[in-house]
Amino acid sequence: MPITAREIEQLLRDAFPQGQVKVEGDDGAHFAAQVIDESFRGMNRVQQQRAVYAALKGKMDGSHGELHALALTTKAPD
Amino acid sequence: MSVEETIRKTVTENDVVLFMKGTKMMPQCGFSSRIAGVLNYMGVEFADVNVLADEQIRQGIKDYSDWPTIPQLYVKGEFVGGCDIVTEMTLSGELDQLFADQGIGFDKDAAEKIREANG
Repeated sequence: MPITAREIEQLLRDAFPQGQVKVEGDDGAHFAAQVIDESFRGMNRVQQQRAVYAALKGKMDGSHGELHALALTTKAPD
Repeated sequence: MSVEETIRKTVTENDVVLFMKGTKMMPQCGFSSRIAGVLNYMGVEFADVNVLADEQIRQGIKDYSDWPTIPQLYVKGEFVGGCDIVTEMTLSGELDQLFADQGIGFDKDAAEKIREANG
């Protein structure tokens, strides 16, 4: 089952309820997500993006992952 | 040698290593292509590892860095990031700084040109 931008957005909203989440993309495989969350403050980019990947619960995994391509932008609020 | 040992050996024996889909001459994924393109353009010497040629490495590198996607860039044995992070670091100048700090040769003018073209 291809994943939708809406499903990705829901997973991210569940994980970052106070954050700003924006997901774009509608071809079922390639998406762009932006997450701005206070919990990212003090984390480097690798740590921030690990937290986002963790929220996606394995959907990025393996050659048969549902989600092939996710362009990620993460930061703490200004 | 275990997969983990092979990976550790690769990232410690080479200053800059890109685990990617395809090769630096013939990338097979847009994200891999983007990082390989930046490094090539900046004249950085790097080793490329084609994960499509070895299923054990393909999974092993994800376990090694606890990072679920490819490409993955390593400098002096340390995981730097994937495509989005390396792109941001290229545009912000942090990648130049990292290479300078680690004594890795690169073409500063080329890096500036990338920033001018994407500013």
